[in-house]
Amino acid sequence: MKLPARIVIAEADFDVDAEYRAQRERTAGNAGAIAMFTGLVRDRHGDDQVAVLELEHYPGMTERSIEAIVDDATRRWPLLDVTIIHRVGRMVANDQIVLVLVAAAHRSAAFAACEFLMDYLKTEAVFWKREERTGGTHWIESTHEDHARRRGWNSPDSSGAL
Amino acid sequence: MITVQIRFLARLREAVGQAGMTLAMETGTLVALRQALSVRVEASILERLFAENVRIAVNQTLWDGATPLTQGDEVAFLPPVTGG
Repeated sequence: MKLPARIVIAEADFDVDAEYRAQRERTAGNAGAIAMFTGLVRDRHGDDQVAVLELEHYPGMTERSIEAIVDDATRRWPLLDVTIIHRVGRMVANDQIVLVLVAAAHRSAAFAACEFLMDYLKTEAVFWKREERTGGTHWIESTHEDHARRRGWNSPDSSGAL
Repeated sequence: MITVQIRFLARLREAVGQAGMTLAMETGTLVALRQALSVRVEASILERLFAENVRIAVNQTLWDGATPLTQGDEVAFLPPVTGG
């Protein structure tokens, strides 16, 4: 079954209140839980100050990569509604980068799917990050921990991440 | 002879110094792709394009490297991704 999913990739900032209200309305009466995650820009990387975070994507393929991740989550948990908003372009410290909202009848599915979606966005979604730091410009890669967490969802006895 | 549209993303675009190029190839194979690119970019850049951690997408779907490329395909070189 194809889940109603709102997937947005945009330079513009998003309004968490509006997205949450909209999902509540779409799932009114059915949802017993909405889990939310927001990712924010930090002002440092190690000892370096980060002035700008730049997010790049591959229009078309990026959207499809997120749709595939949502489809995967839908097969794993009984979800009612998913919102994923991912920003691209230039951002500074404390800016919002990503929003994940997951509605389900019960909290366990909402919590787990929200974490799963973020672990997959970190490792599978088609984005690239570049930081402008005091020490120069650096492309960022997903970490070993990111990949370990993503693999954790595929271990046979795992219902959650590591 | 076929012609494909090449795209370089993120750090690979910076390495090559351009976002893409139109590339003529003898055939639609991976070997032919590498051969055609070898006369367009420096050897060190070519190594980076065909590094183990770089994925190639054809018409915005990951390529298995075996399905032959066809006239007009969009062939994108994707360095390791990270979002979130």
